[in-house]
Amino acid sequence: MLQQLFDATVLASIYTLFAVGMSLAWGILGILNLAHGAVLMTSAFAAYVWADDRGASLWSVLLVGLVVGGVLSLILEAGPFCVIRRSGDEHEAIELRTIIASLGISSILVALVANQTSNAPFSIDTAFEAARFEVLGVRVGALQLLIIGVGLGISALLAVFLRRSRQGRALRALESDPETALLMGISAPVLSSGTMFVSGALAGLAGVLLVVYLGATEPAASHSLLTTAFAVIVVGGVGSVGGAVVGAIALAVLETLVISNTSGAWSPAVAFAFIILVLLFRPQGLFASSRTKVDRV
Amino acid sequence: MNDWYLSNITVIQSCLVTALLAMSLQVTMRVGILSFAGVGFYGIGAYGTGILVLRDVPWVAALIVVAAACAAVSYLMFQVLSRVRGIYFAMVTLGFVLVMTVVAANGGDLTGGVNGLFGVPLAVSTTQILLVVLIAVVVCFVTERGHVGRQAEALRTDELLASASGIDIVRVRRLNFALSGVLGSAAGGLNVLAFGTVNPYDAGFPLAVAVLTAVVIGGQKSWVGAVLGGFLVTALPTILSSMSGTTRNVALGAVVVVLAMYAPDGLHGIARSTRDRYRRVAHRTPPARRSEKERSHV
Repeated sequence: MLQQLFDATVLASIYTLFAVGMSLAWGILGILNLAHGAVLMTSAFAAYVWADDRGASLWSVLLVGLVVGGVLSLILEAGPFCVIRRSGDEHEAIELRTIIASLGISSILVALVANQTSNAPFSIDTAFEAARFEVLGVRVGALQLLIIGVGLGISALLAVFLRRSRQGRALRALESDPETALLMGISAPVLSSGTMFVSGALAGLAGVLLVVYLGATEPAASHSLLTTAFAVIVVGGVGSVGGAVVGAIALAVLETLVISNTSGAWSPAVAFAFIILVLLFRPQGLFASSRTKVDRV
Repeated sequence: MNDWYLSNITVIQSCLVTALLAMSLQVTMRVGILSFAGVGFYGIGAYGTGILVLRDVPWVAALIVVAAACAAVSYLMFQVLSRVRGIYFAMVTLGFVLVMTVVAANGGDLTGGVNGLFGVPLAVSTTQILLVVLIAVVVCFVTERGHVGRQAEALRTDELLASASGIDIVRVRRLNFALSGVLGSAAGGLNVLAFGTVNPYDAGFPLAVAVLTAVVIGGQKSWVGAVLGGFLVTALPTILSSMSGTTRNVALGAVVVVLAMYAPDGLHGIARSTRDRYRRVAHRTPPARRSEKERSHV
């Protein structure tokens, strides 16, 4: 039981890293980026190419994933998303067009990666030797501890950044009232590019950690990851860092319980049953922080 | 002609089925909701019809019973779903699709588990599929015109304004959602009757994306767009048979991105605006040229 909880926490840390970027882009910029899973997969694949047989260190692999993910998201923001946002369409129409464009981007990226790996799972070889030890009967690896550390550390940093720093406050201003924020001299292009870069970089980081942790992943897994992230965001409330952490833990624990108590075939349905129930009974998310989100639902 | 038909019969039948499925998504988009539920009902239709026909129910009866059941289910489902809107509606219905996939994979002997159903008798001919598609087209055509059509148009462009002018938003959307369920289930049923197999992953995330692609490419405002998109997305890769799966997905993805950026109403929208422009040029002194002259004077 304790072992399962520990494993669930590791999984939750990866989910958090992945979901929190998507949540910020959605909350602050109104971009529901369905290509987020594809960005994760592409960065993980870039890291795989980089690590290929050269005995690369874990740090260099993580860095490659981070940079590729960030730059890729930046390109998406500078290209399609920006063009759509400036087209002067209705707010809802823009949201819809952004979703559709991101689905198109997702199918391009996944097709390219799947072509390179011939649709087979790929793994990232690093020179990282994971130390393993046992605490209270729980098997603990250094890699798992690293993942939990990175997940919680980055979430905490993000939360503090959004609360305390000047740019963080500017971002939150942009979230609650874009027009007034612009009048106050906040530069929307710089902030939205920054947000998308961080969002993509976190996805890249999550991708590399996920592949290293699981051993191997297939390109098509990006779809199910996307639904997981959506479930995490819906449970935690759009744009909330703390909510994403709680949502990720809740989902990971629930998935682990379902896998260990049934044949495992039902686990893909957990995330979505979760989404449906939460949206129907508490559409603003279980931990929604402000009233503005209620209006958006 | 006959040789051509015989060698392309699979593609023709798939085109018709995809067009039907694309219409199922389009009838919800025309009232301003992005719903993937049609794809879920496609799965239910395929499995329901397949299971009934395998148990010696006549195929016409099976198709109608399942479609009626889907109409009832989607009608009731919308009662609950109307609480969520916008992006959330899209994601809940996508959730419905994925949950259905998992249910089908875990259905044991009834659904054939992960392998799905095999050996469903091939009962329908192309003409019969065409007939169903034509009926669907007539229904969509009629509901796109007149009073009902204008209601839908108002709902799509401005929900608040539509509600203020006395349109019962929930009712109009509920009816279109139920129609979407019927069209989706008919598409699934015809597909299983034409090809004899269905497995859980036939009606999953990739199909949802493919159908949305079809509607976006063709144009979301009218059934013309849905049919056009359904045909194009299914037939083009076969015609350009040198295309690999990768090239196809990349090309379709790129087309979707470009259309979402510059022409959200798809090919049908482009055709329409070109026609309007042409008419304006033909019937009146082109206002564009005159204003250009004025500008040059200034």
